[in-house]
Amino acid sequence: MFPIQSVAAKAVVLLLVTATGLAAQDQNVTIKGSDTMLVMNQQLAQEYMKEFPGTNIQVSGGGSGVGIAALRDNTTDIAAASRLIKPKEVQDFLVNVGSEPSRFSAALDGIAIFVNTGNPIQELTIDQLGKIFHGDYTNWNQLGGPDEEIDVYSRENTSGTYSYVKDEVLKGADYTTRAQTLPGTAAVYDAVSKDPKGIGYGGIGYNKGVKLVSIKSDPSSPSWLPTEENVESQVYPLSRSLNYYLNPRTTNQQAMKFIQWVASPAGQDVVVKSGYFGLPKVVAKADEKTTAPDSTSAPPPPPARPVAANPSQTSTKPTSGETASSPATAPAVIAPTALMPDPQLEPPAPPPLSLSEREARVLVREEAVALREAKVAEREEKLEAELAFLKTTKSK
Amino acid sequence: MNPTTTSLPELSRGTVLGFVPPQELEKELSVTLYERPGSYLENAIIRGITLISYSAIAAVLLIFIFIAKESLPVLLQQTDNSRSGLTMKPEDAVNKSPAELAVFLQLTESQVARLSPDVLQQLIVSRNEELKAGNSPDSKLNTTTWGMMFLPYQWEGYNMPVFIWQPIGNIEKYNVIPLIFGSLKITFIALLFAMPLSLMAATYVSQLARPETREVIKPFIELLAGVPSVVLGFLGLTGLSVLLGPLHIFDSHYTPLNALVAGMALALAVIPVIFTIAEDAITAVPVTHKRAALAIGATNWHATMRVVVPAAMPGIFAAVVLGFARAIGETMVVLLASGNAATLDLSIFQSARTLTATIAAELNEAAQDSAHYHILFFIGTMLFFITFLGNILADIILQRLKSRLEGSTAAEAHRLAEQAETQLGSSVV
Repeated sequence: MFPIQSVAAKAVVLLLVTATGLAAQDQNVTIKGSDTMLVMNQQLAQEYMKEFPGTNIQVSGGGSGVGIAALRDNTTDIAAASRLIKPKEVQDFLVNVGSEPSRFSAALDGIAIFVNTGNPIQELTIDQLGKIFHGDYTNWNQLGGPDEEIDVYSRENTSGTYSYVKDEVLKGADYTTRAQTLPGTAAVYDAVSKDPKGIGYGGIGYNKGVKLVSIKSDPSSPSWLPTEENVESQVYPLSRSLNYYLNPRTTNQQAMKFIQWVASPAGQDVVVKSGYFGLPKVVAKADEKTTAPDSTSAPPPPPARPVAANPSQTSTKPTSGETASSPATAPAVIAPTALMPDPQLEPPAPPPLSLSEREARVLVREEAVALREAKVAEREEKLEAELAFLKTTKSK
Repeated sequence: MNPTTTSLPELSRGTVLGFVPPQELEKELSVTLYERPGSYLENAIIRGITLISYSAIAAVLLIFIFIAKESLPVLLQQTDNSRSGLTMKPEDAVNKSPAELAVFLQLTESQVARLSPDVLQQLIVSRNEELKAGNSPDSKLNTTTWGMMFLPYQWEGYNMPVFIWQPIGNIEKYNVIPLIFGSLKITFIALLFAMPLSLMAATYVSQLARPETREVIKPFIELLAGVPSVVLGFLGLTGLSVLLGPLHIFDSHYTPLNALVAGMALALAVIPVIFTIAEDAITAVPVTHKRAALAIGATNWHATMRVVVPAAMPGIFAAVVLGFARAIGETMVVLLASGNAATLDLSIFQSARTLTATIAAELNEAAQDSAHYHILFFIGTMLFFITFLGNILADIILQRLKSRLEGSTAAEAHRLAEQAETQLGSSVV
């Protein structure tokens, strides 16, 4: 009698442990990466956990590259990145994992250029900015300001924002060696708010205590401030998308659910509250070309939205001219709950696979064999236990 | 009668200095000392402790091997980040031999063999994008050679040869001279503040202060050692930089976060190191030295400055060297407070970027096995050697100073002085 009970109890305990373990694992999502997105991610996680009790979302920073490295090492479900994945990292993934991580836009961010509140400078062209950051202009009076040295504040070179400004503002040239590099966006805002001669850059979400400068692409064009409208319509020259990269190996349903939720109106509300800008509701200039099949379910698009002719990041990605014709493959209007990779920044991809399909693709042969072997071993173990149990009962 | 018991009281007068090794005792007394053998357990413990002590050497060696191994591609000049602009067609994934593919993709052949043609195609596309030469002629350069790392170079867009550390971007610039310069600059400033302050404090606490005062001051200075360096860095970032703001009148290029701010914050980290060791060294000078000086009419100040401090010179020197090692190895303070601009500006009101801060800031973002990654480890190797050489140099100088100060004649004089003192004492009593 006794051994039966103990075995039964063991089985129940085992079952419980695996069940809770699996459940807990499924409710846990880890997000790692960009420091720019850290505050937003934390708020999103908080709100998500409130909405879906029992889930647990762990957010940590470290930088976009750190997040992508963690994704490669399979230590996180989602990597947050304020930049696009680099070719070297893609190769790393292909060699070690066999597939690229898929990208999902979470929010839009304007890179604000700011000066001290006491500085009379109102607007700058991209060219002037490049010369300031490169060190060609060293005095504010060269730009119509007071006769004072310019103090350039920059981010650490590991920052996604650093690379973005280097590519888009400096056009690949070096920062001046005198640029002070600070360990965070907030630190740059803080330093410029204290330094009357300072100029810095950073994500708009941290905007505090400084004066934002209007930016224009060239001297003749109008200048734009990084406001919600200007960033969403991409007339502001320095805007980028903040991205999530999903682990191609993850079987965690919750991770996908979280990413979908972020793109939903509830998630986008939190995004806006944390100081960033929501994803554009109009994805492409589809108004006149095609009528979206599901436009009835979505709020009508605003009438005359300026459409960016040159989303800045396309230059860093190989696009095969498909960007313009994206409406053909991607629906023009994002339904509130629908989710898709941002078509402006990436060649249109087939609609996201369901997780089971994805999983089936990810499972390479070795893994399948290993899984099967494990199952066989498990069964053998069970049989052995049963045999042992029978022996003991027989002997008694 | 056992000779040891009779002669031991004789000797105790001469053991003011403390422990006399048994070998010397045996020589002096011309006897064989009997040592009770320890129990099995005791011996085992002693052996264990010995082993653990030796493992420290192994640990240092292992750390060095690890760092050196990662920096080997740079040391052997195997890294090459030049971009020829030569690309490969994705269709070649099936046509080309694995060896050719391996070379193009910078992988090993076994890695290539493992990958499916589909993945290989994607890899080639990605590699093409990486290799796409920019319109700058510099993109055809390998920027990881010794020349690029240590000598100035006239990059496109500059009108003279420059030293530049900018490892992220189209053209990676890996000149380490500004970093070495920054490290030395900030270390020098830190020692400039820390050395006089801590040595004066050590002398005061050890020789001049009244015992009650000493009991208050000493723990407080030593408490500084317990302050986490990130706190000191933050102090520099938010406190010192504001406090020193008015100094901008001395330099039109003044930046709020500069080498002076970082150096001063770093000094706070270095002071307890120098103080503790120097204070121990000064206190270890036999009190008889000072008494002898006082007896022949020296003032307290004179006796301290002319007799005690010179006698403690080797220890003081060791303290300063350890302070130097701490200053050059300190990371968090400089990372936060120095402004981290890799300049070669001599002004102390300009920011500087140190070797350690560079490693701390960039290593976690450098893709594994990239040139950047290996060069950061190379910087680590350099740091290792700088401190290693410093310590060896210090040890040599220390030994020389010691033998000069505590040479045979000095020891003889010391013994005579002690004998005289004890005789004087006994005759007075």
